[in-house]
Amino acid sequence: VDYSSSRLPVFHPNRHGSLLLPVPVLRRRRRRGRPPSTAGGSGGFSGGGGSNMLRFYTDEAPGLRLSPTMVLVMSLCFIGFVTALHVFGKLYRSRTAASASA
Amino acid sequence: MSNRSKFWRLAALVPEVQCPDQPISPRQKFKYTAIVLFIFVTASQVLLYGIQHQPRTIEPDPLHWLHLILASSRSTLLSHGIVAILVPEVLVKIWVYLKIITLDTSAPETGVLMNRAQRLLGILVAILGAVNFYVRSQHFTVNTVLIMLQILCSDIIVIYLDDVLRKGYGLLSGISLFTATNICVNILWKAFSPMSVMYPEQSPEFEGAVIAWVHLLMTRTDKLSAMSKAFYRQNLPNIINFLATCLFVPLAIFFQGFYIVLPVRTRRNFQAYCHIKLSHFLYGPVVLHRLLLPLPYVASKVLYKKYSGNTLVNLLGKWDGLNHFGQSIPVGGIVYYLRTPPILADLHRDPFHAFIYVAFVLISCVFISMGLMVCASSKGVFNGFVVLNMQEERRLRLAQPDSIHANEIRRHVMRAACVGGFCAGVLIIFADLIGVFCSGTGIMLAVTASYPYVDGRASEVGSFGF
Repeated sequence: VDYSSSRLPVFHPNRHGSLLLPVPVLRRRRRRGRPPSTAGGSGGFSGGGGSNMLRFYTDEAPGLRLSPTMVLVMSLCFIGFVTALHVFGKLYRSRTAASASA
Repeated sequence: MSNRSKFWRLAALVPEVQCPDQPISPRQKFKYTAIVLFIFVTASQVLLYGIQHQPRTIEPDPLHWLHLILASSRSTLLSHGIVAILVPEVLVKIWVYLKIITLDTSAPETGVLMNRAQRLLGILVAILGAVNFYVRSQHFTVNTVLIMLQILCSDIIVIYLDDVLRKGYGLLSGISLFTATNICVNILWKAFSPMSVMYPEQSPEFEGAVIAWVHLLMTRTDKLSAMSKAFYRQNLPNIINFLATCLFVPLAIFFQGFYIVLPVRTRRNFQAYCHIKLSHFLYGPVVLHRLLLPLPYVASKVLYKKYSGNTLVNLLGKWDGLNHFGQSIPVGGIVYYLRTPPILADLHRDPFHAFIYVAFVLISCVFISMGLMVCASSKGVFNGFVVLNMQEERRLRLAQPDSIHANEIRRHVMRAACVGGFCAGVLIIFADLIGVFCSGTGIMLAVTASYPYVDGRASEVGSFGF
């Protein structure tokens, strides 16, 4: 059973020839080859391979993902910030001009 | 392999907008697009904080066409416009065509990685833009740091606004939407601008053509002189330009819907029809023609200012700024012959100039169109140009004697690319001669960018129409 389940991650990279998949598999194999963590490595190999496989095909890709609302809110906040800079800059200049004239 | 994996790992660090998990209603799409447009237009009006704002000069900048295409406004948050999303897209397409990047279409995550690579390139372009400002200012103060940060953040905002639209939340792609909006705003501004321009020893005039017309009619006692000035003034937009624009927009829209029906014989000897839409060949020549044409202009102008006595520089172009309201205009050399004759009457004054200009525009548009066709077919977008009407095959009619084989479709598509490029050239020449607002190129760009929404291909079309 373990052999058949561990066989799946090895097959898919050869079939599809993807660029990212060989890297985790190779890493798992290297960990598996180490004597101190043989049992943990094999357990991590099957579990990690499965989760990586699921991530690559169901989720788009690992990494931070933004919602469109977040993008729009960030953009509006930035424009508001620059506009506020303009307003406070004018106030600051008018105050310095007033103090200089006085 | 190791370099590729490192690059992909670096690209994986770039955050991106998540795809919608359920189909979005057209109402929500319109809402998202409206908000994105509001952000874009507002950012194009907010000035950069900390920059020395010079008063608005009469002389237009020589990169006016570039600003139109890139949807950029000088000294505002959108100083670079859509450079951060246009340059990566063009670069990736060129790299794919030149086999520098080989796409593995069988892998399901190729699209994801390609998208992230474009985002990463966009962020690099944004960083280069900020550094470019520092290099140009040549001194380092707090204001310089503030301006660099503002430019960087604005470009990143443009990148993610385009990502929101591209993921399906909006109606059009970001590049088309921003460019079309910028051109439409410019056209409306030239027609209805309330800004007044001050001339020495003259009364101030309104910039907008329609408002100037009404103002002249109301203030001048001589109505004929007022009408003549409103219709034919050369220094600012006039009513003739306005009417020409109103005429040209329907013409460009008509050309968008034009297609050729091609009878095709299928492999099982049945009749099918192939629709080749000419509108697919219009966007590329329009954009690239205006992107490439200013290069000799700027080179000739800079060289003439520095080495005006050189024979080769004079052969390239002679410039004169005395009798043209402060604008520097080529009056001789190669660049003069590549310039649009300013008025329709100039066709009779200088027929050689007109002939060279027409030939240059037509030939360059045809070659650009064919070149883009080659790039498109190598990428596999060939199917997007040709809509095989396979429903006809259900009727199982026998092939007509004049039908062509399916293998010959490509040759006919190349021929259609020539016709499309030629039509683009004709439209550009016609628009520039009748003097439309923002040049015919800009209007065709706006129409071409907006037409996929009317056509129902909004989510499929990227930049350059495919």
